[in-house]
Amino acid sequence: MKIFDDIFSRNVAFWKEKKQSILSESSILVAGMGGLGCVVAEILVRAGIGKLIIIDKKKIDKPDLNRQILYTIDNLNQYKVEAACRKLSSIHGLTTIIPLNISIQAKNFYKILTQYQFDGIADCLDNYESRFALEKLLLSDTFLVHGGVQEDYGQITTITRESIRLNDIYRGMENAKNFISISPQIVFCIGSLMADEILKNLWGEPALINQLLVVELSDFSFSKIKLSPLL
Amino acid sequence: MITVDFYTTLRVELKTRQLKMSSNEIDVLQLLEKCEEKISKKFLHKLFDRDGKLIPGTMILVNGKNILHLKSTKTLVHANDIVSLFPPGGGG
Repeated sequence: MKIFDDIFSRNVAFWKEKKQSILSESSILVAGMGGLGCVVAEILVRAGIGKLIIIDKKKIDKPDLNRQILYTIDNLNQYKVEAACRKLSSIHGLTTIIPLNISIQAKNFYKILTQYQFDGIADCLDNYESRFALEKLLLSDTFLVHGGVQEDYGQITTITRESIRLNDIYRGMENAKNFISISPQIVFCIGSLMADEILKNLWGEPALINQLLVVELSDFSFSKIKLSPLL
Repeated sequence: MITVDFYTTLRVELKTRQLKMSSNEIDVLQLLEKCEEKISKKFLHKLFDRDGKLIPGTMILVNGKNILHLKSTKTLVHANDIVSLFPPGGGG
């Protein structure tokens, strides 16, 4: 209890013990351990989440180092989930980290995921096809916080069984054929906001259901677009 | 008035955040053509290909619904409707 108190004392001073306790008993699936996944995972660990299941199939490449905060030059060519697991576990050791080196597009993806329980999903993926596949994991009592980034802008929303779906919002969108340009600062910004919305969901206070929050660093604007679920 | 909100790269390139358009019932394409006239800047080529189809990576919402679920560019908009235009961030 002493360790709990010391490490999370600043959190508890702000959001109180009840909410800290909820976090310690919660688990989140982080899909995609790229830019957004790294920020979301690190914040959730520092917030005191009980368990993180992290998913990615890729290895760390040089262009990842401008924004993927869990990795350094020493991690090149290592699997992202393995390097992330080591770094996240070293922060305080109180969060259980489960690394899954699999692709969302793998045939056995859903079968593998049925072995794990989680309260919510962080969509930190980098393509629409995988995002649409990921939201199929949603159960009646789980939520998905979606984030996307490009250049110096990005967007966030919370998806539930009852809300509008990613497949509805992004109908017709195709995966980028070329290299996507992304600044480090928008990744940190959107990742932080995603983590905040995940905490809000865990506490039963989601702010972005049927709302798309668009963040633009070009003019420091935050805009909420009301989304309408399809009938 | 119909509100047209520009987001992300469109906002930056057109230096325009929002337009208020006075119009009776009008379809999305006609509305956007009027927007071009109003700001004296061409931008439809950033949204549509030569066949008039939405370019992948571009999204148009009318009152929070993707127009591809409605009648695409033929979707009718009316006073007090909100049209949102942007390429969303696709990376992670």
